[in-house]
Amino acid sequence: MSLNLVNPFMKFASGGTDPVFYREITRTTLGSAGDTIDSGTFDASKNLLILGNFISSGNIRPELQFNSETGTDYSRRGSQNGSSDVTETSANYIDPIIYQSGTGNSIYTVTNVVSESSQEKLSQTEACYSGSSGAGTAPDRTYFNGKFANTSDDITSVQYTNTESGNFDTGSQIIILGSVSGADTAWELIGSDSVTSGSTLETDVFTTKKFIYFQAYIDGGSPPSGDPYLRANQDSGNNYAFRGSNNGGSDFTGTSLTYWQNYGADSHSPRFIDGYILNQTNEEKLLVLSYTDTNDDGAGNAPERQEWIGKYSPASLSTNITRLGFYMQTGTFAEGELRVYGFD
Amino acid sequence: MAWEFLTQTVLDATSATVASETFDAKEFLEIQFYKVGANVNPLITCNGDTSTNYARTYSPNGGSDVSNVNQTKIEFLYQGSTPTSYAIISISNQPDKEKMFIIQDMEENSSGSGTAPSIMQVVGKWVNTSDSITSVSFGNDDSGSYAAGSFLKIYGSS
Repeated sequence: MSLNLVNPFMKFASGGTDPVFYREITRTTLGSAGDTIDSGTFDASKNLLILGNFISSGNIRPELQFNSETGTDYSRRGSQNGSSDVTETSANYIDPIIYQSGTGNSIYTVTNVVSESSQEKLSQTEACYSGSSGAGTAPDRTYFNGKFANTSDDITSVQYTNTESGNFDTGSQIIILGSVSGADTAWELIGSDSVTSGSTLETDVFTTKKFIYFQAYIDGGSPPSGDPYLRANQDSGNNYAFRGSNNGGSDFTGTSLTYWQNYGADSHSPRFIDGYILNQTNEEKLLVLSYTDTNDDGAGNAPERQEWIGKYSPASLSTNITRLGFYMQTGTFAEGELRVYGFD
Repeated sequence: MAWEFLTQTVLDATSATVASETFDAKEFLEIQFYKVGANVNPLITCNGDTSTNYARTYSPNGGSDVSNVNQTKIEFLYQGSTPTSYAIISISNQPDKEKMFIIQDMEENSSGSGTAPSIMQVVGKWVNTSDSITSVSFGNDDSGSYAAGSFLKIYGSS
């Protein structure tokens, strides 16, 4: 006999035992350059979202461990810049595949984890490497799944260790979010827009936040009106670069552009976009984004997909993102919904 | 319009499905889905619709994209034999538009660190244009059953 257990009272509890859409559990920020960022011990959560901001002082490679476990309990599969998957097994870390060279460059990692004490722990990471400064250089990307083969403990701490010759610079940081109850979601709504006409879908100016998460639904009408541009701060300078893949094809890149764009996609609509931005003062702003569109209507047409990353390098890196918007190249929106969330 | 918890289902015994109860319609959804049990191939259906109203595109372990159309469900697993898998599923849920899914799937593959995990990157759609998604079910067409500990958690934002 099967049994699905749902506690109906949990839905209506006021902050009691309800799961939370990613509340902050803990964070660690380096006060001086070093080779390790350690979260310290935290309460277990079955669902974790780890945001990492690694600033380079020389070459850096942030290798992930859990619970300070240094044995050969890790394995990983993934790719860099859309190339074929590579694997590593019986490893001491979950390796990020590539390293960041130079000084003053950044890596932004977005890592989802499931942690069930009696099962191997699974993770999935998307990472954006800023590369050399300026929008004239496209960023690099990795996408990889990892596992931690421990089957006796919950994850209660996270460590990143640099195994290259440089250091994580001062200000490098990890944020641990989880769905365990106990506080409100970290993601505060900071901007939104809803349109059914016109060529602009954008937020008002919002209070800057270091970590931004956004979603957009865009319908360009029929016939489709083309790919909308994505811009920060209404900035149409040549300050954007990106890299990505369309339907699993070889990576495309764009540099010194006046926009981010889901470049290479067909002009079909509607589309759905889900993205994370690292909006760090005095650094280039880094973007990790997933995309799908319906292709043509109906179940006889398979949807399309893209995964891409980007960076925004404003004239002054002290300028933070305080507005996001999509702007039609031609035509108008039939419908558009934009939601932007953030926290510091 | 902030994110809120909608519903969850946690199995405490084996089951053929992991299904949600009915939840309030929201424009954007996120599902955290955890499968425990080998030989289980999760099949997503929405609002009880098992007609050929689904399609998907996917990349298995970084390979070339594959598409399936006119499906009765959205599949997203690479290996049904994996003892566990975890998926983050983002959904656009406009009531009068086709629903779009972005699925990031991670799979244990075989147990132990001597085996690398598997990856499936999937997008899908449900072509209903008259209703919001207000319930989801994860079925199975493989020989196993969902084990205790399998769960889904659903959050929404409007």
